[in-house]
Amino acid sequence: MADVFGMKVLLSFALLGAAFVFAGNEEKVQEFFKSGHTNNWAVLVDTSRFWFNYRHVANVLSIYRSVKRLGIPDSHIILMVADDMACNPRNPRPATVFNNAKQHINVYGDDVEVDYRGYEVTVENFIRVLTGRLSPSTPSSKRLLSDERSNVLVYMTGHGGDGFLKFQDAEEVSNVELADAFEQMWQKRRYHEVFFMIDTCQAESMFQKFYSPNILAVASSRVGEDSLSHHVDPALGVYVIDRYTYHALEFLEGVNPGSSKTMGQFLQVCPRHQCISTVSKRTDLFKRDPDKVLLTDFFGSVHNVELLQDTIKLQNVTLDSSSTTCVKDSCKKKAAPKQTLQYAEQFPSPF
Amino acid sequence: MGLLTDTKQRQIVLRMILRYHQRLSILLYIVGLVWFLALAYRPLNAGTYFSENALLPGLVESDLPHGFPSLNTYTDLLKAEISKDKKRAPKEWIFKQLQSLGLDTYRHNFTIKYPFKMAISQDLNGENIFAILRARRGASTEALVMSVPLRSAAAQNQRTSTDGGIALMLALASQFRKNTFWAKDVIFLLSEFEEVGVQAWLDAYHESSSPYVIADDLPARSGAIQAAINLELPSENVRYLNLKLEGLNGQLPNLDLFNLAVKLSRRESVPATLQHRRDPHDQESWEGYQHTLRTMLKMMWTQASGAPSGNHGLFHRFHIEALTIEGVHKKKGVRNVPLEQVARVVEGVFRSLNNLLERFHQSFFFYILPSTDRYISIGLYMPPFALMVVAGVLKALALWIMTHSDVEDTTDEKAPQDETEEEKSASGEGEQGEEKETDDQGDGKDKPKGDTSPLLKRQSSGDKSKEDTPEEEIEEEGEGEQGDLPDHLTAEDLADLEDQDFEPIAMTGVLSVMPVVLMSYLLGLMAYTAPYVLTNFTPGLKMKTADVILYGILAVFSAGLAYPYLMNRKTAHEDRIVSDWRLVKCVGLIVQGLTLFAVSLMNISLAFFMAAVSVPVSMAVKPTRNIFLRTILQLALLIVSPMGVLFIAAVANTTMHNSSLGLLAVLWQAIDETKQLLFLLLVDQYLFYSWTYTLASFAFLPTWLLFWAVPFCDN
Repeated sequence: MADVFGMKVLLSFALLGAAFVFAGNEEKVQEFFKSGHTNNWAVLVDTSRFWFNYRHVANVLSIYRSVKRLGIPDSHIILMVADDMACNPRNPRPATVFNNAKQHINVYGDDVEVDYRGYEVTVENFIRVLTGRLSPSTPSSKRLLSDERSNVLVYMTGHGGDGFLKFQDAEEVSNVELADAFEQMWQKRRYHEVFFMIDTCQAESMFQKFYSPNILAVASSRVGEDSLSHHVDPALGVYVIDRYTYHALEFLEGVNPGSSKTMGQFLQVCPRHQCISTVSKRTDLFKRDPDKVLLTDFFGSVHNVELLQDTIKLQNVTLDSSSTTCVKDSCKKKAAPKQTLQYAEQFPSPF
Repeated sequence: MGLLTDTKQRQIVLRMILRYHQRLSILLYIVGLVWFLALAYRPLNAGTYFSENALLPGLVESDLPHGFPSLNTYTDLLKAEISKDKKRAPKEWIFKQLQSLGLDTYRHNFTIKYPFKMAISQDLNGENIFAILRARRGASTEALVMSVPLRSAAAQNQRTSTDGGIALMLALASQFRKNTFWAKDVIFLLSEFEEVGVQAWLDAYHESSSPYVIADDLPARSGAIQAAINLELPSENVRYLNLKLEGLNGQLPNLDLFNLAVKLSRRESVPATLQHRRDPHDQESWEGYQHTLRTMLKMMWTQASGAPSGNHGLFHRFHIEALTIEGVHKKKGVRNVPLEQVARVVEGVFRSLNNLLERFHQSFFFYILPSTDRYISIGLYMPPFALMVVAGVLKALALWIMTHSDVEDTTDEKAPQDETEEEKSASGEGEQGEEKETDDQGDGKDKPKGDTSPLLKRQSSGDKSKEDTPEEEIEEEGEGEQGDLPDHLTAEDLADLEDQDFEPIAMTGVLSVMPVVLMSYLLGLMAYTAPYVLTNFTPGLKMKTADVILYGILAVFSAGLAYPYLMNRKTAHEDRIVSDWRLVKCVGLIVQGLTLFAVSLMNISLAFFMAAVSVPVSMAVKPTRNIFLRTILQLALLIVSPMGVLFIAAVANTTMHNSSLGLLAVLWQAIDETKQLLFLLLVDQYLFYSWTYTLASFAFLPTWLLFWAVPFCDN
């Protein structure tokens, strides 16, 4: 009975986003709440359409498959796919998308829930999803309902250039816009930590302008470098996957929900001889040491469960302790206002 | 014009032109010609590449089964069918085969009305067969065409057989039918009477009509046609595939389509050639350069005629990219490739075309090819071509300045060379005067613009009061009289260069050219209408149409040759300035420049060959009393006349086809060839809307007639 009670307490406090002090099991409890997040979200975006960009769709569906396998449910994944490759008339294997010429895994498998498809994948929709400025009629399946305890994985793939990422051959999002969108998310307390992952040409440029705290970023190529495709499936007649995503996926396939692999290890994926481009990362905004951050903090949705014999008395320190995860600049800002914090208006009212 | 123009600098330019134009224009022409020919040298041209992402050339593996048994089956069946009736193509059998494959198969009838009224002429009926493979998962809004000309065994004596193409089409149709990946419809077209059948079918498909090829409505159609591949394959193994690109009026398919065909034949290790010439191994060597140059010139030769080199040529008119893949069989030799490999090439091309998302638009439409992997784009060939033509225009400019600076001198009957000398000294004097003048004007007072030209100053210095006449008055007078001038002679040029005193005389000079110009264009019109009018009258004469046309055109041409005599006699009693040869030549050179530049944008090959032969002769032509020189000039002019060029082309064609003939035999055959060429030009014009004959009669002939008049003018 006591066990059950203890577990319940821990879980409920965890969901509230609480930190607490307890004399006896102090260290153990600190360890337990180390990651500081209580829920995981993923925004996976493929920005390019057309049959010859098959590989981008395969990229994003591969990552989708991995995060889903590691425990993030469809309700917490916003999947944006700009074209329907499975039903393209040119596809010799209708209703499938493969990420490998050996065709082991159909990444378009049994239940793929695409939230934004075809021409719904626009810069505006993408920014609105991130910042939460969606019209009230938007169904919740199409919303990123994250909060200040959410770890968000953002994966993007498509055709990029120095400082922009092309959407649909029609428009592009710039790195400044993207950085501002993340800042807005931070100000609106829509995330706890963000892992930003991008596989395009000159991908590094997309995270160079970030200035919001708690963002860890990795990109498939440096500015001035092309990000290359991995191989052709001669049966389909298209390139099926990009190099960086291929090797990232290879790594992720070896991870299970209980794995102790760290983000630090993940950032080492695809050295130059495999990728041909140079994988570039950005850790200065991220407070924690990537080598001590579990991969499943971003790619999975692992609910930590620890069974205790003792009853623990917890103190609710939610509103004072938001400074536990911030960097220098924002810490000062955070320290100043002592009044009760409120959520900003998500959507401006017409009156 | 006006206040900001530095008259002194302009004077320097004018003097430079007058002094150096002779040497400069010769230099420009030679540099242009050499540069143009040098473009075939590998370091001076560019390597081909794919501009269109969507094609994904050669990424997909062939779907055809090993050995492609159905191809052999169809080849055998077709052979058996052909042996039953050698005179006619087995249309009925082909129709049934396509139908039994489950394709939407239709017949399309058309009637050819013979454009010339001949004794034997009667309407000819033809029948195309076409089948549409509907894309199962596509929207049928786009289509690709695979076409094969139907040639009966009897007709194959002249041209290569296309049995292999028919068997291959049937085999591929049965294969494509099983495939699920078609995003576009594939239309299989078998056309009768070569290009005419294709023309009729395309007209019907696009609901356009033609007065001579009358096509029935199509019973069914598909979407917009994006590309077409025409197959001319023999039923035996082939040694290599020859790619034919040149379409009607020298139009070419997008370079991406050509690259695609080359790339896929390389992948299947079937050699691809251009003009039946393989790429040299070492293109940078002298031998390699000679080889690529010949390939380039041969391609340009084909393009220049403006006649389609295969059935693909008619598609270009409708902005459908198309080329012909011609299989060439060599009797001896072990390196022949089985048709199965060719089938894989064609299959690969179609699968790439199936991937296409938009019309071909990324790559070049204007190019020349020295080999299958190099190209010369419009950006590369235009500068040398421009140099060649500018040589003539520069000469025209110099002549223009000459005629308008020293009209007094012309009455002195000086030789042109002397005039140039006179010109130099005159401008020298003028400049000195100018300098003085500017010194005088040191206080900054404005002077009327009319006196800006020092040459004019010299002329008008005797009349001080005139000098102060306001500019507007002079301009106005000038304007009034220049109303009849050709457009390219701008009013300002005249106003600047001419003084009031001799302006009326100069005007007479310019106007005097007008009868010559009008006459030459009238003769052009006659040449244009002659074939139609003549053949209308001659059915009773029991002559062959080709003969009637040849003699008719020759008659018109002779009239053209004689017209300067007629003009001269008429104007003999009038003022001599009336036919100032320099003005005639000047107008001729300017019209020639305009024509060549205009043609170069449509058919660079035609423009290049015309420029190469006519620019030097037209620059050199002038009246002379020396009988010998005069004869040589007239002979040269005759050679570069449209008829002369046609004859040269016929000689070249004859020698190209059988190089073993003696000189006399070649000339004799060339006359026959000329007749054929002329006839074909006209047939192409009437049936397919070819421009070549129109261009020859309305652009090249009148221009040439202007030059022809020059030696007859007064010296």
